[in-house]
Amino acid sequence: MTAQEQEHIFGDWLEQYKGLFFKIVRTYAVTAMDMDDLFQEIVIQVWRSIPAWKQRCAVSTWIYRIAINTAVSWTRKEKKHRQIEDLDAVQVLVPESGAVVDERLAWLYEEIHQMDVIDRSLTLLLLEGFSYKEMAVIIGITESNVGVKISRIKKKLIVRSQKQDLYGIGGSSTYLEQPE
Amino acid sequence: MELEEVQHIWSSQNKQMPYSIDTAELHRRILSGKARVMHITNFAEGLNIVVGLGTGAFTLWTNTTSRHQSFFIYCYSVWAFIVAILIIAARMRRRAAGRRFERSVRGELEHGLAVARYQVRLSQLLRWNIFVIGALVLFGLWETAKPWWATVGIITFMSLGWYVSGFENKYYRRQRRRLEELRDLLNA
Repeated sequence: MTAQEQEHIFGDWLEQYKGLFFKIVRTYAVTAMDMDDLFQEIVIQVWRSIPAWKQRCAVSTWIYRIAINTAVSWTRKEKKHRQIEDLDAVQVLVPESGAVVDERLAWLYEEIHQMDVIDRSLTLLLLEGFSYKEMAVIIGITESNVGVKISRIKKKLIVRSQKQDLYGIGGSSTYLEQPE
Repeated sequence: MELEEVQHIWSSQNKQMPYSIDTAELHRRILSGKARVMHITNFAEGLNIVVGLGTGAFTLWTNTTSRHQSFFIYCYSVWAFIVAILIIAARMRRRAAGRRFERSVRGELEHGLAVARYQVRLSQLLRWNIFVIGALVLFGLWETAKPWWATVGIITFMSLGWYVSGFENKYYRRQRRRLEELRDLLNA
């Protein structure tokens, strides 16, 4: 594969699957700096993986595989969760002004952040609608093990959501920045 | 709330992108990221190979051209070459083994663990090697009747090396422990 072809495929993937990248990044990182750092790490790994992609699996599955592996490695590095943010640093991810913050979605991410890194990966795949078989391939564990873990996660999520309902989290949304 | 509803909340984010990507900056970072892919293990191996071959060649040359040749310094040169060759062989084995791991979270984790175990073993062996090197150099000094302060200097230097390499070994052990915890999570 030539560098130009790789560049072309990468550009296509980035444009087509950027929503997927954002979801993965938000699942594993909390602060804006960490999200930016993880996003770059994932994108570099995806770029490097392009020559190895054999078209045997869907692009989205391939990207999930690379991205989750990268995110799991990234979370065990010591530099994560920096509390002090360097606001002058040039960032790759630029927050959209006027983006609507869904409080229920923020709650869901908060719940996911409290999970360990393996459960986080499985929750992400569950919410994205992957089958147990696909999850087993991506994570590298047996389907029955996936089943056990997923049923534990589902139970936990449902119980937590019911508790959350008591505090009145409904379908409300607020703006990050009010559009002019 | 049922799971379907949670899934509905999750898919609501598909409608709107919370970020845009600065593609020019991203491209610049990718290029610089590609340049810094050299792993810490590669660096440690490379450094030990260069130091082993370098000191082996240097001591061999100075000993053979010296009027007072030392048997122990010859032993030291041979030992330095042997250690460098063993590290080259271990490096080749490590790289070949790296291709066996599958591309899943478990596969990557097992690969990471294999590298971490290798790092711990290598740093431990190189730490013990300080004793061998120290003994050969001290015997060499004694054989060539060097002044006492040279012996004190070598002992101080070797002790310092032993102390610093302890930190390195602890760092690798911490990394291995973190990976083992992750593997335990996967198996739970």
